[in-house]
Parts: sequence; structure tokens; C-alpha cells
Amino acid sequence: MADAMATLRFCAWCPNLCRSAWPDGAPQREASTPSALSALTLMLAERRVAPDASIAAALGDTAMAEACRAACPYGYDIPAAVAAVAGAAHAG
Amino acid sequence: MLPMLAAQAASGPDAALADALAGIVGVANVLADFPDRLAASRDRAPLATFAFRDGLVPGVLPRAVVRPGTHDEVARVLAWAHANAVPVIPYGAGSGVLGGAIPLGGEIVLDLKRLNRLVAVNATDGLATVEAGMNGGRFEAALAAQGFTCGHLPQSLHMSTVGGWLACRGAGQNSTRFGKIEDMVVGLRAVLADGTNVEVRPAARRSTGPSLRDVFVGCEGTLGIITEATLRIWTRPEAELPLMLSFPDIASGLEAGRRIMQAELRPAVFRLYDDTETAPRTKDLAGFVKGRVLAILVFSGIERLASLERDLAREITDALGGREEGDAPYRHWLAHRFESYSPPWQASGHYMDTCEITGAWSRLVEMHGRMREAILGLCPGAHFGAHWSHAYPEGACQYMTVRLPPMPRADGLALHARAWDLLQTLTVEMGGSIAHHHGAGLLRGPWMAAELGAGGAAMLQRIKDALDPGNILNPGKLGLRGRDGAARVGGEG
Ligand SMILES: Cc1cc2nc3c(=O)[nH]c(=O)nc-3n(C[C@H](O)[C@H](O)[C@H](O)COP(=O)(O)OP(=O)(O)OC[C@H]3O[C@@H](n4cnc5c(N)ncnc54)[C@H](O)[C@@H]3O)c2cc1C
Ligand code: SF4
Repeated sequence: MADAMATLRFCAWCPNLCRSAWPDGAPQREASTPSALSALTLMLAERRVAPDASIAAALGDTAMAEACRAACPYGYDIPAAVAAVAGAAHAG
Repeated sequence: MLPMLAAQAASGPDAALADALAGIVGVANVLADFPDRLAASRDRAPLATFAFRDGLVPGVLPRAVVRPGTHDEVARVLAWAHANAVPVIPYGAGSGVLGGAIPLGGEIVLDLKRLNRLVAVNATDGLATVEAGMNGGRFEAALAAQGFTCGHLPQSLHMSTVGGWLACRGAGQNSTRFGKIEDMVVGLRAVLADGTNVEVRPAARRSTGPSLRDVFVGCEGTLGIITEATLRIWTRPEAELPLMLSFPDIASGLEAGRRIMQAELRPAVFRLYDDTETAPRTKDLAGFVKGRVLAILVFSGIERLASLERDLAREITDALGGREEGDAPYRHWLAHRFESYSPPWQASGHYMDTCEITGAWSRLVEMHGRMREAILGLCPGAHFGAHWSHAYPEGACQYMTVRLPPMPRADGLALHARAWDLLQTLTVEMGGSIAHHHGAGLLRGPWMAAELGAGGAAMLQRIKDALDPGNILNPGKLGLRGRDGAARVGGEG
């Protein structure tokens, strides 16, 4: 959990340098970029935003973060970190 | 600045607005949920990061994110926004670092990334036509597949769009050879605030009055929205020949840069680091003499020509005490040239920012000395490092990194604001330009009048008023008049 939080804390301030791995034909949703997902998850874990349906839906949309995973030069697995931290935040 | 929780609580849907826009771009392309609006409320301005990490919205949430898929849809959205007095912020990849994309009150964000086609490559004329929302890295890869390069390779290549390059008058790492983006734009299509289409047809040069192209290149979305660009492209270089050097001090390194540029040599890459930035790059370099400063030069193109240019440059650098070094720093730079250095510092509570300015060769040594002194005088625990990485016959870009240690937010923001003021004021005082390639955005607004002069600033405002009388296009940026009730970004409240 601490590792996942540290990952999110790094990724949230990283300017999505992996985003060019996302194919041109697929719709681009800024909220689904790895960095935006990380920031939102962090805000949820720190109780800076309240859980609601739109946040749950956004955090479930990890297709882009998944596609960009191999292009992360730091080797982070953002979908896994989001799942670990958001799952705990929802449970808590 | 509003806490996110409060912004979330107040973020009810605006059904009428969403319906009207859905009528133009389709329901799936109007995103009005809180996560979409939150993601579009920041760009990569460190001030926005400082807000986000403290759970604050940098300005306000936009009313919705709208994703047009064609030039025509952009025009129709703008015509609608003009008629309904709804402000609009064009948004590429949000990698801008001056707050240019931050909403300040009532805006919709026009996300241009569905406009992402490479429209045409004209190999004979050496031109590529590309839609504005195309990712930079994907554009360069598509050109590479056909044997070309655009020559515009910013550090943010993979995290920015072509339209963002034009909008901010950006510079790539090979700009010393290929020029800044404004030197590459041969034609473009854009839309004015009321939905009027403007096309600057690609032509090598023209003599038909002031350049309309330059109304848009550098406008940061305040005068029009660029939907397509025709850019100069080049055959990929046959060779890239590095020249790794050290100099006794920055004065001799800068003098070498001046002589190389004025001798009409054109290195693709010219990077000279001050002692602070030299140290981490050379700590494992065998035989590197402490105190000397590092330079990376690369000559590219036809191998015989590049090799000759490198030899001629060597003659210049030898005469100034230049010494050849091992190529490990070059290889490291090549491997990491498109990455960002700031996330670990921002994650650990530092106040890190960068400031790039343009200085004349005759003033750069003094600029560096006085700016370093000013920052360390302001905060003795600060990090100040600089390099010079875009060179011209007249001068170069001085790119500075300032990092303040973790401290209470109010103190950090106050020192950060003071640091900017010192750097920008000193730049103007020493005859430089306050921005080399990041643009002015929101945060350089306070120094725009000093940059442009009172007459120049008034003229820019008059152009804005004439083209956008309702002040709907990215209001409050570039030092231009904001809208009533606009949020303040930076200080508290
Ligand atoms: C780590 C890092 C490294 C960087 N390195 C460089 C570098 O080497 N060189 C460099 O020049 N910059 C650099 N930048 C800054 C930034 O990447 C550039 O300014 C880039 O051109 C912005 O493109 P974008 O698509 O992300 O634009 P955005 O951030 O989305 O927008 C920037 C501004 O332009 C406006 N805009 C965007 N698209 C359009 C359009 N089509 N028409 C009109 N207005 C528009 C926006 O409203 C905003 O005001 C760096 C940034 C980061 C975070
Ligand atoms: S996944 Fe990696 S490269 Fe992508 S935004 Fe996060 S930290 Fe940056």
C-alpha cells in the first residue's frame, strides 16, 4: 500500500510522458491518462474528494493507463496502484 | 483557490450547455463529470501542481470538456460560444508550464486531441500537413516511417500536441539547426472567436502585408484556435556526430557558442551547463576536472558536411580552452532527453520551477551571475542551476531550474512568486526576453507590459479586442484583460 501510494504520488506530478503509446484512433480522455488517474486516486485516498459514481467510473477506466504501461520509463504499473489504493479507500 | 471537496460539491451538471454542445460534437464528446473537469483544470504549471498536491483547484473547474473531431466542429463550437458569451480554452495535451490552459471562470475546455491525423506528406516540397491535436511523438514517428523528421523535438515531445507547439512558440532540442517552431510553420488553418475560418496557405515566403500566420503562432489560444499546420520537414540525417567538451568556465563556453554560431556553423544540439548542472552529469566521468563546465554539441546531416562542421567547431573550441571528454553524458542525455526531472521533487514537497529566457551573448555571463545571486540571496537553501540550449548568432536561451526546499505552503508560494519576479525583472533590465519557448500563459502576465513596452502591450490588447470583442478566447492569458470575477491563481484567495 505504501509503495502504491508512492507510485501514485510520483505519477500524479508526471506530465504523462508515456501518453504517445495510446493509439490515434482511440478516444482520448484527459481524465483517463495515467497521471490524472493517479491524481484522482490520491485525492480520494487523502479524502480531498468524496467517493461518488463518477469517480468510481473514472477510476475504472484504465484502458489508457494499461496501454501506456510499457512506455513508462519508471516501470510503474498505474492500473495496479489505482486498484490497490482506490479499493482500500472505498473499503475504508 | 477552492478546495477540491468544495469544487466537487458545487459541480452540478449544466444540462442546457451540455445539450447545446452535444448537438455539435455528439453526446459522447461532451464530458461534464467531475473527474473530467478536474483533469482539465490544470496544466503542468508548477503552481498548478502545488495547488493539486494540497487538494486545491488551481483556478476553477471548467464547465465541460468538449472534444470536436473536425475543423468544422471547432468553428461551430466557437460560433455557438461567441453567440452565448461562453469563454473557451483550447487544450492540447496540457503540458504547458505557464498556466495557459487553466480555467479562471465559466470556461469550457476544447480538447483538440481528436484532431489527430497526419493529413499529407509532400516529399517534393518538404512539407507535412498535420492536424493540431496530433501527439508530437506520434507525429515524429509517422514522419520517421517515411524517412523524415520535423526537426522539432522538445523534451515534451511525447506529452504535447503539434497545435500546442505552435500556440506556445515552442523550441525543440535541435532548434539550433532547425529553428524554433515559428521557423517551421509554412501554413495553417485556424478559427477566430466568432467561428470565422482563416487559412494561411502554405507558401515558401510571401510579401503581402504583415504575417497572419504570426497572429496565431504564439497566441496561446487568445486570438484563435489552430486546427491544422503545414510544417517544413527534413530528410532524416545520415549522421549525428557528437562533440563532448568541457570548458574552464561558462564565459569561455559561451564565447565558443557565439563564435560557432557567428561562423555560420549549425550544430543540431548546443548545450552548455553551468557548474551546478555539470556536477551530476560528470561525477562518474573519468578524468573530468572539477570546476570545468560541460558542453554537448551534435552535428548532423550529410556525414561529410557534419564532420567538417565538427572539425571547424573544434578549432574554435580548442582556442578557448575546450577539452574533449568521454561521451557518457551524451549517451545519458540521449537516453533521457524526453523525460521530466520534476516529479520526485514535486512529490516530496519541494517548490520546483523552471524559467527560460533569451539573452544576448554580451549579457549572458552577467545574467547568470546576477540571477544566481538573486535566487540564493532570496533563499540560501535553494537550488539554482542553468544551461544554455538554443543558440543563435545574437544570443541564446538561458534555461534555469529553481528548487525551493519543502516549507509551509504560504511561505513557499511567497518565495516562489518572489523568485519569478527577480528573474523576470532582471531579464528585462538586462535587455533579454522574459520567455524563450514556454510562452507567457497566465503566470507571465505581470511582466508582459515590461516585455512589450506600454505601446506594444496596448497594441496587443487592441488586436485582441478587435478579433474577440466578447473576450471569450482564453481570457486573462498573455497579460491580456481577464473577464469580470476571474479566479486568481497563485496567492491565496
Ligand atoms: C517536462 C516538460 C518539458 C517541456 N519541454 C519543452 C521543450 O523542450 N520545448 C518547449 O517548447 N516546451 C516544452 N515544454 C512546455 C510544453 O510542453 C509546450 O509548451 C507544448 O508546446 C505545449 O503543448 P500542449 O499540446 O501540451 O499544449 P497545452 O498545454 O494543452 O496548451 C498550451 C497553451 O496553448 C493553447 N493551445 C493549445 N492548443 C492550441 C491550439 N491548437 N490552438 C490555439 N491554442 C492552443 C492552450 O490554450 C494553452 O494556452 C515542456 C513541458 C514539460 C512539462
Ligand atoms: S505511468 Fe509513468 S510515464 Fe506515465 S504518467 Fe505515470 S509516471 Fe509518468
